[in-house]
Amino acid sequence: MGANIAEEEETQNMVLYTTAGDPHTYEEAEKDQQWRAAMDNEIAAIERNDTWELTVLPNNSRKIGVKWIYKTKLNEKGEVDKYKARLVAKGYAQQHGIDYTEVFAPAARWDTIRMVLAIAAQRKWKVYQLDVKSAFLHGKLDEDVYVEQPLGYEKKGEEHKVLKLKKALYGLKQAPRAWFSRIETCFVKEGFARCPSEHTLFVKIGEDKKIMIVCIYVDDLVFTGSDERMFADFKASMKREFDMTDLGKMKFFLGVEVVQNDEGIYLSQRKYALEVLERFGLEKANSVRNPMIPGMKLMRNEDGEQVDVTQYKQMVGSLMYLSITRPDLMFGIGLISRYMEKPTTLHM
Amino acid sequence: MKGSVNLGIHYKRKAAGDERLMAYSDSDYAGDQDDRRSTSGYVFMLSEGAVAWSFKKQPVVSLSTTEAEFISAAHCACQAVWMRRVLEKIDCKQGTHTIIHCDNMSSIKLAKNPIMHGRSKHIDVRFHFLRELCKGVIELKHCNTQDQIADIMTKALKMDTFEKLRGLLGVCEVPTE
Repeated sequence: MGANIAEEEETQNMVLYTTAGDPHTYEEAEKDQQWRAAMDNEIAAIERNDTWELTVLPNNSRKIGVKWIYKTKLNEKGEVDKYKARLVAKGYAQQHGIDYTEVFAPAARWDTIRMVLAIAAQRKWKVYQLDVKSAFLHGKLDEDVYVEQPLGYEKKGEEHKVLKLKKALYGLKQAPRAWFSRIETCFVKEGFARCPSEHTLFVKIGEDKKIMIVCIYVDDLVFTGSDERMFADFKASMKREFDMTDLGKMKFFLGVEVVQNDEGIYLSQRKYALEVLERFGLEKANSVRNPMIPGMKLMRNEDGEQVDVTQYKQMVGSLMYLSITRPDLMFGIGLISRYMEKPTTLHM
Repeated sequence: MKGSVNLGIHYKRKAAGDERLMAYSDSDYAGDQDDRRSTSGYVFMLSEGAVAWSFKKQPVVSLSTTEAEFISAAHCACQAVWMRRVLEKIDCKQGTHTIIHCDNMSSIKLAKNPIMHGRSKHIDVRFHFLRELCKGVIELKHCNTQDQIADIMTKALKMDTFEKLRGLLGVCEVPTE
């Protein structure tokens, strides 16, 4: 139930965004004023958050490397929104049982989100969205983890020292789990009950049977319910706890466009579909009305001309993500995904 | 896909059936020509829009259409149980059982009565699971092939049928605000 968040996020990032031209190394980035400012911001945020303390690395302990990642964030219109520098730990060097133990963290399922939206539509509830900034930095660590000092920000005269983490950094294996348990604790304190059959769904019942429902998807919170006053209290207390962006009415969530009006709630992925077509050079393709030829059967094709497996897999993956709002395409997608091992021209 | 980028799911404010969950289960018998395994498909509808669906190759080879439909219905029932629990938590407790529409009469009979035992005893576990749920949580109901929404999950359809079923899934042109 619920996939691992780290994995989930990775696929999402792979599928959703790609920007060219961002620096790959610290040496490239330090030449630019905008990236230096971005790194200053990140370090300031980390220190404000009381993430680490400088200490001497104890014997028998290992330090983990860190790395800068640079990303230009674009807004909906495709203009530059901000330059973002993120300090990540090289989590792949962590060893199980020493640097981390448990890593699983749940993420909301689309089935649940769609159920909540379907009910909200009938009850005339509006659905809102909040986003937690730098969510993973809020997770508290149970294990002792030491990281090296980040490039460009070594303390003068204490270069040999390491940083002991009190809270998580991005890239750490346990970061998603630590974050989830932090926000979970916070919700319970606020009087929410966790749904035992869906761990990312929280419900609070107020006086006169007023109700508020929250779904957590990593750092995105989607909420709805019968009482706007409960929302205001909720937002205020969340803002006290974390750095939040209030996105208002739910409009755009993980690549899915949401329209709320008097007729109900609509979900679509227009932007994403167009991006996928462009990516695979199909924007000029002829459109068909029926995705399948009636009665069509596909078979393994041992002798057929092979096509690029990676591209085939990427296409199937993109189509899978599209099926979030297109159940009618599910059959076709399920069918073609069986031939991922050895796709041929027949399957395209 | 190109011709349909504007399509999406619509959950209606004024929906027939109110807040009641409806399920459709179907299978495609021995649909895979390579290993002759069947596929299960189901769709759950709420507020006249699809909320959950699945299309999956069955883990075992079945010997008859009845068996394939039966396995599919059991798969659908598992999901129904989970969804009913979640709905209960969000203050939308399903007052009565959830209806699973199925277009195969004999698998419905099989779930209700222990008949034809010689041919079905190897699907024993699912058999008991489904029969037990039929005592209160779910109800299997026959529906005509034309109204079988789950068909869209298990078969390549003709254009007009495809568009009709797509409409029944709640998939339509989405307004731009």
